[in-house]
Amino acid sequence: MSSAVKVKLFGILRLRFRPWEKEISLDSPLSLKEFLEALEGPFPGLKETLFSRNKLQKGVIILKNGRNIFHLAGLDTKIFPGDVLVIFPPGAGG
Amino acid sequence: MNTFYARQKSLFTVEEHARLKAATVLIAGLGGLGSFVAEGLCRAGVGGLILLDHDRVSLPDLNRQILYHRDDVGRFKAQVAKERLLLVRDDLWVEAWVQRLRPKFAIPSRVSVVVDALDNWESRFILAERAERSGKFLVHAGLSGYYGQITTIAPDSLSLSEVFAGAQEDPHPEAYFPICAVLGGLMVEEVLKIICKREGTLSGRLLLVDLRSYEFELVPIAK
Repeated sequence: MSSAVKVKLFGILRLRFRPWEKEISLDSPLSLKEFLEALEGPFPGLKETLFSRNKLQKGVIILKNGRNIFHLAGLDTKIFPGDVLVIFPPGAGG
Repeated sequence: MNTFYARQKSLFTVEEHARLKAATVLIAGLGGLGSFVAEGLCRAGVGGLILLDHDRVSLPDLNRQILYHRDDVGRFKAQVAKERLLLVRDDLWVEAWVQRLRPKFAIPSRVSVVVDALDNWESRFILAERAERSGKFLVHAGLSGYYGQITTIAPDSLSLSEVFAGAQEDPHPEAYFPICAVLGGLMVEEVLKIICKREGTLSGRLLLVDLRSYEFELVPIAK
């Protein structure tokens, strides 16, 4: 099993952050909040785009292994080595 | 053979062509995505279309909404769309519904597939709930600038709100011809696959599209 978490950014986040995909080493499980705070190094500014004051910002979807963390435990969702996080603001337009 | 469908004859079996002719698709939203979907399904041979949109054509629509021309500005989109599609195929059964989506909106039983080409999440979730309640497939796409997403919600599978919980309205997302054409074309293909009962639909998968880098990523989605 991989000891890293794969983070993939999509949508208009790609206009602000590069690279769009990174593997982040993780030895032991973290809460999503702790993990996102740790992402501030590789993705400066991403943390405040995703949450503030312990609340997820509206408009950005985080899928952990294909499941919306909104329906898991939100920022308390446990992130394990080997997980894949897909982060994107879905397009609202039609 | 010089028939309307001569160039796609070998792409569909006789049975699949019959399925397409017997099918009716409800297209909710006739903007950048819905224009391409309506035009594509009409030309592909779908028998019936219900076109739902409460809005009128405006000048800023014309950079991407292929069903409308300058002379149509001010007219109801659903009505203009119906007239245009009947110029393409006079055997098309088509109804223009000039109305907003209401929570109690009833999807007619004859509808085979519902297309979510709307421009706001509130209406999208209403439509998805009604499609789920009616046991219909829902093909969803949404866009913002160079980016967009498309997926299919099958009956008895996960719901649109399970995938997109937390999505936020964007009153005026940037929109231009290429992203509408790409996503609209993919939506047409997806509807055809569903009607023809083919494998390989986007049910259980989310396709994320990035036209800046030409990256297309398929993400498995789960309950």
